[in-house]
Amino acid sequence: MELIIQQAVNGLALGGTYALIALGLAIVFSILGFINLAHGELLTIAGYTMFLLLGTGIPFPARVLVAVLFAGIAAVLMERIGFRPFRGSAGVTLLLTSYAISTSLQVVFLNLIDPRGKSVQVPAYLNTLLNLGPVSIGLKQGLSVVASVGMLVALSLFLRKTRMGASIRAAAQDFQITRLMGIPANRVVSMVFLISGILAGIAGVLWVSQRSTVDPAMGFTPVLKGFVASIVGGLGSLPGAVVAGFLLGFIEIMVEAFLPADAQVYREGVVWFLVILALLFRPQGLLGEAKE
Amino acid sequence: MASLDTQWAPQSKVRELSQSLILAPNTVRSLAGSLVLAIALIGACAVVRLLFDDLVVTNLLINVVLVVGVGVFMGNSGISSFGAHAGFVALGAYLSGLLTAPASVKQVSLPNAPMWLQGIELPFVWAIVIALGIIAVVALVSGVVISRLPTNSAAIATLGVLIILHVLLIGSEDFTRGATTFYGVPRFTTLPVALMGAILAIVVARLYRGSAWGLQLRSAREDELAAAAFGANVYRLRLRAWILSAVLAAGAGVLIGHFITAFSPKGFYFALTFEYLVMLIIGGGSTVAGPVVGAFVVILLRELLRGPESGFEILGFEFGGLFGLTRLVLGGIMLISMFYRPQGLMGHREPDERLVEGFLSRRHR
Repeated sequence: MELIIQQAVNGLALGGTYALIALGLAIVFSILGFINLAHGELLTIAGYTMFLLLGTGIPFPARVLVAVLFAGIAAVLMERIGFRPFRGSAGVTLLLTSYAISTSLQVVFLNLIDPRGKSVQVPAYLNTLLNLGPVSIGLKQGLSVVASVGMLVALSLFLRKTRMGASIRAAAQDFQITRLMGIPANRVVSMVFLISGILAGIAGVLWVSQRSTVDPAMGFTPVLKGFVASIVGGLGSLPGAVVAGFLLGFIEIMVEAFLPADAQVYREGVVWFLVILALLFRPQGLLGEAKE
Repeated sequence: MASLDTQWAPQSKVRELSQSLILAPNTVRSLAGSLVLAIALIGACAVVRLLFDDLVVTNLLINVVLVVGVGVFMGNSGISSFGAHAGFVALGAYLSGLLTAPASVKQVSLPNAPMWLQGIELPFVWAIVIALGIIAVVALVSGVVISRLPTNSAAIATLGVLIILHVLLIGSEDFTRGATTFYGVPRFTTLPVALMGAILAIVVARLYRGSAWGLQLRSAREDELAAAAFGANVYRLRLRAWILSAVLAAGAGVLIGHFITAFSPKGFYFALTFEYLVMLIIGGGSTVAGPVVGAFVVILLRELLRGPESGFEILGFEFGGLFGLTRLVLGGIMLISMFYRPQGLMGHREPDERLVEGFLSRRHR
C-alpha cells in the first residue's frame, strides 16, 4: 500500500510535467493547427539557463524564474522568426517546419555549449523526504505536483477571467471570425506562444531538477510524451491534454514499478501499446469531440 | 474519345506518341513512366559514380528504395509516418541477417537461439522472400489499427509502432543480441543488386500510384469525405498502401543489412526517421520521382559535407569539426524547401506526365 501511494505521487509528478508540456502543445495547436515539435528545445533552453546561472550566486527561486522567462521569450521569438512566414500553410508543413527548427536548435546547443550533459544541481533541501504519516514522499516530487497543478489553475483563470484569455479562447474556436471581430491576430499568436513557452519553461525546470543534468537532446523524450498526451487527450482540447498528461505519467511509473524485472526492457513498448489501444477506442481523443 | 483525336491532330512522331500514351491504360502509362525514371536514375548514378565510389552509389540506391517505399504510404495517403518505416527497415535487416548468416558465426553470436535457427543458411533470394513475407504480416497487424485512425492520431501510432518494434528487437536478445551489435551478415548488396532493387521499387510504386487503388487513395487524401461518398473504402485503401509501403521499406532494410553486415537497433531509430522524412519532403511525396530526387539531394549533400564536418581550415585558421553540420544544413534545406516548394521539388505530377502534357498542349491551349 505504501509503495503504491509513493509510486502514485511519483506518477503524478511525472504526469504533471507531461501535462504542462501537453498543454503548451495543445494551446498552440488549438489556434494554429499544428504540433510544435520544437517545444522540447524550449525545455532545453530553460535547462541551460539554469546551468549558466549556476555560478552567478543568484538564489535558486530567482534562477527558476529567469529560466522560465527565457523559455517564454524564446518561444515568442521562435514564432516570430520561424513560424510566422509559414502562417496559413497546411498543418503538415508547419509540423515539419517545427521539426527542422528543433534539429537546428539542437545542433546549435551541441556546438555552443557541449554535446555531453551538464550537471545542474538543485539545492539540497529539495531532496529531503516529507514524512506524511505512514508514507514519505520527496519534497521535489511534491513540489512538482504543486507547481504543475498551480500552473494549470492559473492558466485556466487567465483564460476565463481576462480579456486576452477570452480572445484566445475565441481564436481557438474560429481564428478567422475572431480576427474579423477586431482581435489582432499577431498579438493573440504571440501571447499563445508566450504561454506555451512559460509552460515549457516550468516543465523544463521540473525535468532538469528531477534528473540534475541537461544535454542538447534533453527536450526530445518529454516532448514526445507531451505530444502523445495532447493527441490522446483530443487534439486542441486543453482539459484533455492535462488529463492525458497525468494519465500517461501515472501509467509510465506504474508500468516501471510493477512490470517484472526481466520484462523491463519492454517498458516503453507496453506504454505505447496502451497509447495505441486508447487511440483505437477513442480515435478523437479522450475528451475530444468527434468531427465529421 | 474520338473528338480528342480531331482536336489534337498529331503532327509529329513525338506528339503521336504522347497522344497514344495519354489515352493508353494506366498500367502502360505507369510502365512507360517507370522506364523514363529508370533511365534517368541510371544516368544520374553514372554521374555520381564519377564523383564518388561504389559504396556511395549503393547507399544512395538503397535510400531510393526506402524513400520510394515510404512515399507509397505517405505520399498517397497524406498520413505522415513518424517512424514505423524505420522499424520495418530494422526488421528486414535482422530477419534476413538471421536467415543467411553462417551457422558457425551464429553458434558464437547467438548461443541461445534455437538449434534449427542456428543451423539455417538460406540463399539471399529465399531470405528476402521469407523476411518480406513476415513483415507483410506485421504490417497487416499494425495497419489494421493505423488505417482506422484519423490522420493525426495515425501519425502518432506510427511512432508507437517504431518504439514497440525497437524494444522488441532489444528485448529478444536470443535472436538479435539485444542492444549490442548483430554481426556476421554476409555481404550480398553490391551496386548492381541495389540498382535492381531501386528500379523494382520504382516500378512497383508507379504501378500502384497509377492503379485504381492508388488513385482512389490520393483522392481520399485530398478529401476523405468526398472520396468515401464516391464509394472509396478509405480504410482498405490505406491498409493496402501501408502493407505495400512496409514491404518496400523492409526490402530496403534487407539491402542495408547485407550492405553494412553489422548493425544494432540504434541505427534504425529516430535519426533514420528524420532522414527519410527530409528526403521525402525535399523531393515531394506525391510522385515517385520526388523521393528519388530527395534521396539524391540529401545523400549528395551529406557526402559533400563530410569533409567540413570533421574539421577544416580556412585562411590558416583551423576549425575543429562542426558537430551536426549535416543536420543543420538538412534542417535548413528542409525549411527553405517548405517555404518555396511545400509540395516538394517534383510537385504533384511525374516528370513523364509533364512531358506528355507539354507536348500535347503546346499549340492547342
